[in-house]
Amino acid sequence: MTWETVIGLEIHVQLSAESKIFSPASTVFCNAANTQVREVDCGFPGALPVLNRRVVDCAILLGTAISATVNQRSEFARKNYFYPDLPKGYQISQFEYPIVEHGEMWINGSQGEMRIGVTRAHLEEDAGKLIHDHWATSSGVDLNRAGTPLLEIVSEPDLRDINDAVLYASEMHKLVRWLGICDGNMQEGSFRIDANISVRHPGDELGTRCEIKNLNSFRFLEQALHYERERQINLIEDGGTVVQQTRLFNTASGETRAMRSKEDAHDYRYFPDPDLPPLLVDDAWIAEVIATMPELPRARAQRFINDYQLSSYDATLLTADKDFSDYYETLLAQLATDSEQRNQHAKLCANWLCGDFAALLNEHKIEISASKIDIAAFADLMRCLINDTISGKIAKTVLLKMWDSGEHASIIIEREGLMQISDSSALEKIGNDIIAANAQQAQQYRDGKDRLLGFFVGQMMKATKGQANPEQANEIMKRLLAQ
Amino acid sequence: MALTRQDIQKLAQLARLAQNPREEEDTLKSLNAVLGLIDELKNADVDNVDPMAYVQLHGQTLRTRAPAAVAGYPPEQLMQNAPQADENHFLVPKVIE
Repeated sequence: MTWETVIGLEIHVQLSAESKIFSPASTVFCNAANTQVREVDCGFPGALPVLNRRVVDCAILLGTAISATVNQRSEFARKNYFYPDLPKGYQISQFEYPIVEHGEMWINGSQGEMRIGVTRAHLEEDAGKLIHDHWATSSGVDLNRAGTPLLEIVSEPDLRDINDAVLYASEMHKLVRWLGICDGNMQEGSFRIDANISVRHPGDELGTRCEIKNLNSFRFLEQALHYERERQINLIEDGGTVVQQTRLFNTASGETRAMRSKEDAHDYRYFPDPDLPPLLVDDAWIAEVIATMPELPRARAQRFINDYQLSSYDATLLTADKDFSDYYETLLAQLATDSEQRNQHAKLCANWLCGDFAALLNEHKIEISASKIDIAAFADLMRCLINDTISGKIAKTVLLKMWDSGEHASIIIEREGLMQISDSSALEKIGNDIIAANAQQAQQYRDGKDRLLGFFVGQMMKATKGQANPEQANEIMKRLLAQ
Repeated sequence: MALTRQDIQKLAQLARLAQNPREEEDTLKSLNAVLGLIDELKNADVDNVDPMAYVQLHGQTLRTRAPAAVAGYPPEQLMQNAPQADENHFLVPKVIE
C-alpha cells in the first residue's frame, strides 16, 4: 500500500526594520542582555504599543510578490499565554483578520511548475530569549528580542513531497531576501520554519497531523520531515494511531519528540487588542510600496533566457541572490551600451560569474557585496578576455590576484607582463627552438604520430608561461612541424 | 449558554488564578449573569451588520520610518523592577519545556 505525505509550512520571517514592531527600541542582533528594551518590550503596565510603519510596508511587498490580497483592513489580536519570555502575558498577533491572504508561490518541483497556495501572512511580535544553563535553579530572561517584528507566512497543505517542501521553503527564503524584507540569516533565527505533516493513503481523508517546531535550516527541515513521515507510517502500520502533537526536532539525533499533545494544548483565548485600532491600508499606500518593488527573480530569470539566450540553468543561478543578479546586470551594462553587443557578452559573463567567481565566493563564504572585486574591475577582466589581451587560462590567474587585491585586471596584466603573445614571428622563433630541442618527437610526428602535436603546443605554452595565444600556438606548431 | 464549574476551573487555570470553592461559585454566578446579558443581545437582528471589534472608524497612528531606533534603558535600571536578577538578566524559576 502506498502512502502519501501531506505537508504545510508556517514560516516565521524576521522583518528587516530598524526598530521593533510596537516599540522604538533597536532590533539589531546583540549579545549584551537587556540593552534594547523599552517600556512596551518589558510589559510596563500602561505602556501603549505604536505600530511601526515599515513592517506594514514589508507585508505589502510580500503580499504583492505572491499575488495575494493585501487586506485594506486588518486587526491585531492578543494571544494569551504565560511564559517568562513574554512579560505582558500575551503576544500581539493577527488572528481573524490578517493583512495578507490568498497568495501563491510557484516552484519548479517534482511535478514541474507547481503552484503552492499561501493561506495567509500575518504580522506579530517575537518573544524574548530564555537562558537555561547558566544558573542552577533559575532561568534568565533577555528581552532584547521581545517585540522584534515577524511576518508568519502560512502555506496551504498543498505539498506532497518532502523535496518540494524544502524547495518551497528555500524559494520563500530567496524571495524575502530579494524583496529586502528579511536578512535571511537562519543561524540567528531570522527565518524559522514550523512544518505540519500527516500521511494517508491516496484518496483518503487527511490524516492526523503533527507540527514540528522551530526548524532553522533546510537540512533540518528535510531530516525532520523524513523522520516524522517514517514514524507516522510505522505507527499506523503497527496498528496505532497518530496523535495530534507539537514535536521538537533533535538536531543531534535526527529524531522528533513530543513537546505537548493537543489535550494540554494552550487555549489562547484570542481577542482584538483594545490598545491597537484596526490597521487601515489604502490604495495610495499600497501603490507607494509597489513602486519600490524590484523585478522578481522568476521574471528576471525569464528575461535572461529570452534576451540573453541563457540556459534555464544559468538564469536560475544568476537569480539566486539579488546582489549577485544585480552585479551581473551592471557588469553587462558596463561592457556594452547597445543591446546586441551586450547579448554577445552575456554568456561569457555568466560563465565567469557562475564559475570561477562564484567558486571563490563559496570557498571564502562571503557575499558578493563583500568581495574586493568591484563591478568595474570585473568588467575590465571581461574586456581583456573579449579583446584577446589574455587567454582564459591566464584570466583565471588574474582573477585570483584580483580577489586578493581588488585591483583592475589590466593593472595586474601590465605589471606582471601577462599579455597574450600574438606576435607570430616571436612565436615562430620559440617554435623552432622547441622543434630543435625535441628532434626525436618531431620525427615521430612527421612519421604520423599526430597526437604529438599536443606535446609541442604544450611546450610552447610552457615556454611562454601560458601567454601564447592558444589558437595561434596550435596553428604555428602545426605549420613548423610540416616543414 | 451557561458555564459549568469545570469551565470556571479551566479558565482560572489558564489565567493562573487560585480560587477557593466559594470564589469559584461567585465567579460562576457573575460570569453566567454576563453571558445571560449576551444571550439577550443575541436577539438583536444583526444580519446586515459587519462584526465590529472597535468603535472608532479611523485607523491607528503609526510610527513612521524617519526616526530610527531609540536607545534602550540601562539594564541596571530595568533590573530594579525585577524581584530577582543577575548579570543583567531577569531571573525566574527554572523553566524547561
